[in-house]
Amino acid sequence: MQWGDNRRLSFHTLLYIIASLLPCISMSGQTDTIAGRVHNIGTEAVVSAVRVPTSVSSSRPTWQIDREAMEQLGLQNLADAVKRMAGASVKDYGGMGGLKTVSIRNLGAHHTAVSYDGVTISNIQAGQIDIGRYTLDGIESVALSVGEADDWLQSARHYASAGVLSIKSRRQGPDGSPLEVKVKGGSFGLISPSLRYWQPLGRRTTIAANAAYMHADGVYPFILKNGIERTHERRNNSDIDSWQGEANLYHTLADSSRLDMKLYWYRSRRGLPGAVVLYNRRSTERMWDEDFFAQALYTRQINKWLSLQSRLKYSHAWNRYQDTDVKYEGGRRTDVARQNEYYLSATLGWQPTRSLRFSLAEDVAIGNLRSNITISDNLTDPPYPRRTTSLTAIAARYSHGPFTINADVVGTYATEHVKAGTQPADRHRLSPSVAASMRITDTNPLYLRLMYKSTFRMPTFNDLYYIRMGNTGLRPENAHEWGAGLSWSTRLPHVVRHLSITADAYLNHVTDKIVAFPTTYVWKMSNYGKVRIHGIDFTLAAETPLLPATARMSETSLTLTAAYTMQRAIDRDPRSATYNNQLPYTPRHSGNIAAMLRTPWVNVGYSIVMQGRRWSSSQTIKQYELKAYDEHTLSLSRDLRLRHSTIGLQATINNLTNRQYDIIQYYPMPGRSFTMAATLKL
Amino acid sequence: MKSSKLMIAALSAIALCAGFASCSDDDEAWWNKAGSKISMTNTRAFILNEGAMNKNNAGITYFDWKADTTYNDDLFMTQNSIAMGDVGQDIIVSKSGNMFVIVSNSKVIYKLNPAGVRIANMSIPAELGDPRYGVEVGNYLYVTCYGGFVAKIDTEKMEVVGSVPVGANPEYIVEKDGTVYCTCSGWGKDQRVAAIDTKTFGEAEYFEVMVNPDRIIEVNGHIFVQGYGAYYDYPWGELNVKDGTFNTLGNASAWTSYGSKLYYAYSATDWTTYETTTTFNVYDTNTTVMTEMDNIPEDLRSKSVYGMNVNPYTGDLYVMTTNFTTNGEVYHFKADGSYVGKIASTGVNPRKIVFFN
Repeated sequence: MQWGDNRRLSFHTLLYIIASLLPCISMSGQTDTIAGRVHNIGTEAVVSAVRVPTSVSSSRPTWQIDREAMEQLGLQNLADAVKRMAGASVKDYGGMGGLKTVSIRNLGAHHTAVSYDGVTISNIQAGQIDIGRYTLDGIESVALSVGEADDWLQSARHYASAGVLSIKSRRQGPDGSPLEVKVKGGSFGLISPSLRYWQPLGRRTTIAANAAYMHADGVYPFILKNGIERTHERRNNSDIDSWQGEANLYHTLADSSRLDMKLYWYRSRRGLPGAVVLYNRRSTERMWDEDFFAQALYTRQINKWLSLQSRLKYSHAWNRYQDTDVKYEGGRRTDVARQNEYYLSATLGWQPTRSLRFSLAEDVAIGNLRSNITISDNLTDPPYPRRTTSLTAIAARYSHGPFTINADVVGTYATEHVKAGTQPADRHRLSPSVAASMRITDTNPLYLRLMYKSTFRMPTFNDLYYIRMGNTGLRPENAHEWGAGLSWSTRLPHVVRHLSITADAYLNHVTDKIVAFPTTYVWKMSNYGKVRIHGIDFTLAAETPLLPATARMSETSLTLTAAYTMQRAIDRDPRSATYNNQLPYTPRHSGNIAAMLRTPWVNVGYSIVMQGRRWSSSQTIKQYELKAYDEHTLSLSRDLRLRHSTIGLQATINNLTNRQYDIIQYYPMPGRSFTMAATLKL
Repeated sequence: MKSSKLMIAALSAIALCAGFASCSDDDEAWWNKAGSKISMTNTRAFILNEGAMNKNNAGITYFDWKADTTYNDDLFMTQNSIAMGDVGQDIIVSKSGNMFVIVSNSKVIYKLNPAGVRIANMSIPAELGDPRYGVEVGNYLYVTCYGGFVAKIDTEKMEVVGSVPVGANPEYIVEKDGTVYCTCSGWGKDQRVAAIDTKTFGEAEYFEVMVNPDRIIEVNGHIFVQGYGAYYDYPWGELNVKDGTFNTLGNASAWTSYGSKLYYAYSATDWTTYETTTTFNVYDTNTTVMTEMDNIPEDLRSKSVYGMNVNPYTGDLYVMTTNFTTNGEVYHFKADGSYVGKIASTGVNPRKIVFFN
């Protein structure tokens, strides 16, 4: 293999290749649910006499964590939150600017749809979304649904994904303050001021805006183990500056339909520290990127039986990667990519009777990529691919007494046009899904749920068109999910406000997996390999009042959540040299525990994320073994009420025990660090 | 200056003679096992495992070439208690009896004794770029560096004493009659071989060969060059350095030589079935006759060949295979072409074997 060729790939592609080489790479079956705190996902309310959390009653496993819990636990970014959800695993390259992607039940990050306020975020070039860039300041809740969410008016893209991470941004509550100013600072040169502003314009309209800046040197110490040597090193070239701004308009029309509009902008520049290479501390890769999107979401109850939701979105993403080394022509390599997407989606819901519901969703997206990378050495023009995708979903839901069944089918048609090189064939697919839930007992809610879903992911533009590795003959990669679960929820008056326990078993098959297939010198993206993943997720959530509220003091209560995942993810391709071996970076055992103690004086959050041993290679030998780890986070917070305002203060210690660990080998995670934040609410 | 060079040359010659004199098993040279933590036979061979990029898993497999028995751990780690680094590119037996190992992505060159124990190491400066391959001429090691240089390294002091610019991204390097020849790949943008007279170590001369040349080898006074070619079909041919002509002879993805013979393998992958087929041939430089090797075990035919070497003491051929994820294998053939058996390497991507006696 000519290593130089590899070094010429852009960072994202490299990461992508690494990910593909380790089929279905995944870090953890991290778990958690702060279930029980929210009962409303999407437009569908699940409220019953006894508080039944969505994770208990939904026909597909859904875990949610809301802002209060995220704040109390001292979580710093979206990846921290997702790491605490059952069935999700985060591939984390460490540091503030390190890539973080989410994979649901080890299907791979490409199979996860990420939606922001009801509209999916797309990346047609790399096919996976970096969730590390979303700070939690502007987020009201994060929900992770295996299969799809139980939202009947969702877009066809939601129906078409193997799993959805839904991010909901903050809205002003009835007692909300119009202005919030926050300053956060901490270890590794972190400083981040942010501002949020709400303004009602009349009875029907509210505007909201927020802006944030973040800077971090990112130079964190780590211990490098090399044989018998232990050296104290520093992570270099890990700095980041980012700017983010968002403007929202929420409007209720005269017919009580709702229109939500959003403008979003993000820009960053960062160093890419890369893998720690022994004896070579040089790190010269840099990246700049910019994201912009404008979206509108319109929801209308047309009459008693018909509802409509439609979405419109334009998104633009630009990134520039640069590496400086004498091995490049002119001493520098620069990759620039610019992608645009135009997206239109509408879902019509029809509820002819109380127990029967149908929906029809249609999405059309046109995406293009302009980059300076050709598909082969012999072509001088880049391919400039453009893809037009149509997704049509038909869904039905029937519920009768304790029994609910959902079924849907998604039809996909995609066609591509290229300026240079071979044009891939058009693609057609039908993907069915069915899920059912049944309330087994009348007294305490005990539910049984079953699901099957067949989905696929399209080859990304990097898979198809990247220089030399790209293969325009690729087929989509298929995922089949089977799941069965039991969930139970109860309460003991005055003792346990709420307790819920879930247990879900699952079996996934990934076929026609898109991987970089090695031959002697040239690697090429190929549909090669099969993966079987099976596992069990257990979750527990409980809340207990310790001291009742008095006239002068609020109550004292304790919330506990825990999750545990046991997972086997194995290579099932008989042609593979690692047939039946556990996939890289897949721990058999993983889990987390979180406790939140609310007192009138201070709120305390403590959480632990754990992973058992795993291997960095599909060769499961000692040399590639990564040891088990546990990471602890302690956070204290308190609100000080002033005459006209509130000041929220928070101090967090991340990685309290200063545990040295890697999620991806040779991408060390930061050790103990501190964060302090002050929020002024006017 | 001149006399000291002569002195070193004389000493090297003596060392070389000593090396040859110590062929018998019971007569061990003093340096042969210095510092070794394991017992070793004199009929030893070392496989360089390149490892996978950014995994820091380059290493050395030690085996006894008489018995085909291997030591089951990475020898470099065993002897030195630290890892070799990232991307083991080349291993060279020095006339002094020591070895040089070039670790490309770590930008390190080690000097090891014949038991794999580290004597010295050096880093290649960033201005020169990642070191790739080396050849020893006199008391110097000439190393191609990705910045487009051939660096001259004093093997005693283990430091760079000079460098000559060549085409971009040079790869393999070979010596013939005091001149070093290296391929300039330019990662597909160059098509030349650079020649540098080691006596003057002045400006390089160039020969046009093929697009993206990679390997270069000297066999029986002839120079052969292999490369990726414009269409990644791995052409190879003979470069006549007297008149500068290049004559394409076939396709090859790995090769080695013994006496007047050039052994070469060609691995091609069918992208519809993902099957790799490898053929093995012998080219006789005296008769210019190419003969396909039979007696190739069936499982070897479907594997990617990553390297080939001949044991200079026996003429036996060793073929290294890889699947790029798990530890590689080495197929052993007798000098007459008959298949002996397989050796498991202890690392990923075995690429070169050096032999001691």
